Amino acid sequence: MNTEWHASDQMLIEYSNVHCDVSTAYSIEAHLERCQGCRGTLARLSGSRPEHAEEIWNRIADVIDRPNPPVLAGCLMRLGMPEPWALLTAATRAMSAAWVGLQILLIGGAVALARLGAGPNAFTPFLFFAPILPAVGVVVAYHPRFDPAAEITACSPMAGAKLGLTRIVAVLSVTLSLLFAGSLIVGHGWITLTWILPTLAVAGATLVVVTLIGAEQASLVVVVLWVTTWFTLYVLRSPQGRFVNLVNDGFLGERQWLWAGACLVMGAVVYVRRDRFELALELQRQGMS
Amino acid sequence: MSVDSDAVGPERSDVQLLNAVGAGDQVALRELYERHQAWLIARLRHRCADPDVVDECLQDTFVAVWKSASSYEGNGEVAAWIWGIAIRRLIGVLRKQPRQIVFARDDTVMVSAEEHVLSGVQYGDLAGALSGLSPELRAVVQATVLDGLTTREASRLLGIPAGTVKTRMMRARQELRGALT
Amino acid sequence: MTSVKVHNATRRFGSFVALDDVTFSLSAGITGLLGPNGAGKTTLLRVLATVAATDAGSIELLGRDPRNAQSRVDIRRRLGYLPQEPGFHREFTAFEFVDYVAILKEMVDRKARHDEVRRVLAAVGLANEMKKRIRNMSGGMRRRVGIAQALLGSPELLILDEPTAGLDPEQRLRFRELLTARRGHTVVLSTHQTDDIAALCQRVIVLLEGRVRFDGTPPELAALAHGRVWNALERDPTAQLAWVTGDGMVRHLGTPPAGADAVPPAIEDGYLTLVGSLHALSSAPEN
Repeated sequence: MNTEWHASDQMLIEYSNVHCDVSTAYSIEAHLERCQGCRGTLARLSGSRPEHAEEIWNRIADVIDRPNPPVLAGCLMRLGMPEPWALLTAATRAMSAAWVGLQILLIGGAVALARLGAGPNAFTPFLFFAPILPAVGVVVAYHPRFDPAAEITACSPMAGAKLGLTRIVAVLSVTLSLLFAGSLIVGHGWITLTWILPTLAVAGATLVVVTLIGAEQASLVVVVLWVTTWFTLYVLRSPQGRFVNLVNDGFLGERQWLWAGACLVMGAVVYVRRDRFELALELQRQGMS
Repeated sequence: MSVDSDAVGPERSDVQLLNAVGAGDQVALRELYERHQAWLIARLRHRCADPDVVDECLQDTFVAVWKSASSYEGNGEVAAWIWGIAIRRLIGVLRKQPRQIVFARDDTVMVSAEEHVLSGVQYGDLAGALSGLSPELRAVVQATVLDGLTTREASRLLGIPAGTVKTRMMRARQELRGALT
Repeated sequence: MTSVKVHNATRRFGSFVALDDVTFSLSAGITGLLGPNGAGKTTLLRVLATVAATDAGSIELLGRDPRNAQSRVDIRRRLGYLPQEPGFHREFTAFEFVDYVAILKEMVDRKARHDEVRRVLAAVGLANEMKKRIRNMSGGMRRRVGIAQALLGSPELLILDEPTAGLDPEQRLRFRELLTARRGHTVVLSTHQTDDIAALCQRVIVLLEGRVRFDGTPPELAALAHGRVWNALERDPTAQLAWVTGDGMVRHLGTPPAGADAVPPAIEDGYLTLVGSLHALSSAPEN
């Protein structure tokens, strides 16, 4: 090829304005692939606005700089969750492998007891302990100790009910799914699902306690209340039967209506007190309103 | 705070820049972009009338350059390599949208005698022969010869069956051969 | 316009009084907070950042009462805060972390948010370190990530707790430039560096044992030591406060030793005069 040939300025201007005949265009195109000089001339003459090139560059930079979302956030986004919420959920410590693993261990233990033990009573430990998990989970979701950037989080506009409840929903859905999977493995039919309403009610109660005294002691208070209530009832009613019978009585039959009522009440209280959700620990405790 | 301008020094060649991009150097990509965006835009506009599609295509092209720079084997012009990406991106973008191709414009301006001679310097009588082709045949020549697309890619770009691309190419060859001999 | 009003604010932790009847108000400009460790600076800044409460007194930030939940959200939308010990998600990169905070600041649109994240990271000189994981960063770099997140959205009220701690001199210079460009907004920062105050602040508040002991301009603070700063060749054993400076002279504060030259006071001298005890010297800047 004749390397002495170069496109004239006039040709390049016409070419960049898409205003030249086909054969000239072909010549220029074949030439431009090989000639840095003419490419530079074209860039100078083309009359395109630098801001335009800059804008496209920004778009390129945005795509190549964009970090890959964490695996969990990516899954949530594929399920249709908007990107910001998916990222927030994925950054929640309560979604961490440690907390999920601990729950799998505990639920697995209760499932093993139920499978190995004989009779429907073998399922009682599962029923009794299931509501404790979300009570602890709520605090894992809410307590600043489980948020490495707690102080920065606390002063953000999301730090009220928005972020708190996002995290709590995330934590509860994991816990409830695990419990549900556990009860399917146990497989005693409907009886094994009687934990659902009590568990939701206890989760709601924990949230209410959080709005009253802050996240710091909320789960401790709820768990202690849960255990002592049952043992008090047992002591009051003894020696009529075994503890497992009491628990079974408390969960089964028309008692489920009581639990459903408790869920509604707790839900309503949480809704009324939604303004009191606050991630800044001190403000939780001080009960600012 | 930290140094922002470590890119000064002797100007890097396209190949060097592309190798640096392959190693994750964003500054090098920026430089490559600044060198090549203008002619790429012009050339894309010869194939697509919609400026938004051209912009999107340019963006996709450099994102693809960023991702696949390490697969550049070091032979051939970097500009040609980038164009190979750009034209295929254009096919990809156009597939998502109604066709806006400006192949084979009919309002070709008359060429002055001087320009005719100039372009003739490079291609001999080829220029004249090309101008003699029908717009349909020219489009096929442009896609396959100039842009180096495969028959299948050309058919996607032009929105005609692959068989038609082949027959048109054959006819174009015949006509060109006739005009040049 | 007054953007911060603190009226009779008091805060106790058990028997320790962190804030003791603190009253002041601020408008646009940069205000420095000086005081020894434990003087209540961090407590005060946390109150201004809406993450801590007072036991008594009233606070008004950007015209709103932080005790009301809805007003608190409004304040937080216009607030940037660098805590003294900002925790980080250490496995995040700088970009991911600042992006996370940007989401917390309700920046929903991804493109606009990413542009803003890049802007603030570039402003603190981390443009080329955006992809570095925070756990692999030095203390100074982490501090800059912390400053970057505080700058998100160009907040009207910027609270910075020891922003220059861990920064090298060049970075401090760049930080000062960054802040000087924000004079139109209200910036409150705490520091142990009196030269930060001299270079940046239009106003300085000295906090001692939870009380405001000085509130004025940096030259006014320096003027407190007017006629009390002396340079001598030898240390006067009876001197109230004396230290050897870089040029080998002994700088005295208080009554003049024999044969000493009077020296114009610096901010540090004013501050030390105010602190007025050797105890305070141990936590005062040592330059």
